Amino acid sequence: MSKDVTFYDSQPDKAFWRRAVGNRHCSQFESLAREALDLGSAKIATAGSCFAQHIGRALRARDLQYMDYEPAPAFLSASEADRFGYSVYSCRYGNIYTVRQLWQLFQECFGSRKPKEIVWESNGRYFDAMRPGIEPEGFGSPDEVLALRKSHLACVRRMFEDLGVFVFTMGLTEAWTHVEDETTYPISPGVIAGKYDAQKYRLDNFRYQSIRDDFLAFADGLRSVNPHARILLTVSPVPLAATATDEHVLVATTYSKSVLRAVAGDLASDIDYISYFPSYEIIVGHPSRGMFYEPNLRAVCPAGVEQVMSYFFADNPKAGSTHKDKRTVDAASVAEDEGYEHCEEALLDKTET
Amino acid sequence: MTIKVFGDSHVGALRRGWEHLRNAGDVASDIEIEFYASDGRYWLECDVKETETGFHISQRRKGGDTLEDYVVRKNDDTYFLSSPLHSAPLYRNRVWKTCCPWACAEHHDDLQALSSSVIESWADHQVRHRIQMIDKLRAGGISLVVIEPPKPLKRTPKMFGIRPDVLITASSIYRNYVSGLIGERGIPIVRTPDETYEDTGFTKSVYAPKNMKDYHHGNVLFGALVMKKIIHFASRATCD
Repeated sequence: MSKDVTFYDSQPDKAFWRRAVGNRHCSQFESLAREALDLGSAKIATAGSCFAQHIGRALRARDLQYMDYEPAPAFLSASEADRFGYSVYSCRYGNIYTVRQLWQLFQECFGSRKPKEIVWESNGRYFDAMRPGIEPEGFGSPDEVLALRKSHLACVRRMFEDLGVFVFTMGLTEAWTHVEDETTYPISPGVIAGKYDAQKYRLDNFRYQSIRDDFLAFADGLRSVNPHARILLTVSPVPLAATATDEHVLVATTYSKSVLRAVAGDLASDIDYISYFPSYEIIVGHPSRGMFYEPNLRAVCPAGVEQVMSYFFADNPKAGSTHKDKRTVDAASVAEDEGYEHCEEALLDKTET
Repeated sequence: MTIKVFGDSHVGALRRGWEHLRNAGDVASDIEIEFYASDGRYWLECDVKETETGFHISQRRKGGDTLEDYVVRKNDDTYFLSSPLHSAPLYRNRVWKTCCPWACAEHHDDLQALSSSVIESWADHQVRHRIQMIDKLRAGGISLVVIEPPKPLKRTPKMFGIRPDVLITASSIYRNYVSGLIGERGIPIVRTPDETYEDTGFTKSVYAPKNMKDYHHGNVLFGALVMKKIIHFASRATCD
């Protein structure tokens, strides 16, 4: 008697939990990404939530064309450059936690948007509200903020026009928005600078459709200035430091990450120039039993980052090997020694005991 | 009255200026001045050791040779230091071929703007050993004054391929910042004489050295003007 033929008979091993996951250690998965982007010859730019910093560092350490279009002045040491937010991403935009923030940055770069409120003040120092973490002590005057922002936007514009692959890590759905002009900020007013005012700012918890619409608008915009640009999406495995909703932070985190993961996956399925890399699954998925988190269960430990990048480069054989650039090595060692990454959102729990 | 002038290569112009004044009979005969100059690089990592009679300042050049310690004695002399306000290492830096201080960024869309804090961070790193030296000398009761070197020369931008206003702005940010560090310690500064520089911020040609390869020193006339200010300052301090 012949066995019934089912659809699953022709499915590869990776389609079966027992073969692909259950009988393997989490470091032994195969073919995690549906498709591998050819990173070998592309100019690569990174942006996104704080986990994207690790991806940027790993790309920089390889013989790849990693873009640094707003580099640190050569007279700064690696640690000082890092302190000032240089070489963290391909430009000095700090963390871009939400897709809305990314889309608005793109619009501002190309002159179709001008935020109403760019400068935040704190103790006589001034901060760029769209990237408040880049100057630890703030700027000396509002004019200085605006001059640096203008220069920054020119760098980002060139980056968007020149890049081959844009690696973007989606981080949050919650964000604070200016009620008058809809500008979305990376961090709540008052945390680093500025002053929280319930009449002036509102909490947005972006839902699937608006995130998808924002990203499609960004992707269309990007392709209009750079028709060959490709996009690689990831979702940050770093939980929310705090939620501004009524939910428990664990519930809020699950909601945010689920929505982002769904948007990223659907975009990758629907759009041929968008791909998804499952760094989120590698860290968060229960096969890793939470071992890639630090004891606070929020920060990803160096082994977790290494795991993600080993999969990332395994799927990109043309990515080459690591090289020893002094500044890169210094910056990497700083991050590894201290388990440190730039994360404005983490400041939200500064009042916790 | 004995005046001690010590520090980097700018002391050379001061010494020549002093000799010029003395030969011209332009100074009181009871003034004695001792000069000590060494390459500015010997001051970058200077260290101070206190003894019963004074302070020994090490003269080591990173990766280079070692000079005999300069000794600051614990007495009533006033020590004039040239070095901390030397901004040439910053303003001639090749960074300014691709970047500019934010304050002049409006005129240079093709250059990446840098914040004052970033420039000051470099300055902090650059002068930290000299500021520590100043703190130790001051804590030891030494009467100390800092001398500002000449403003950048007009020839310098072309020599280094840096735009004039970028170079001048970078120099000003450095000097203003380090002046603040010195000032907050209660250390007086002998400023570059007003008559030696133009409104543009560059040293007037008449005070620039004849050697056209020299990009940052003052000449004997410049040295003489500064020495007059130093002598005036020392006389006033003595009278006070």
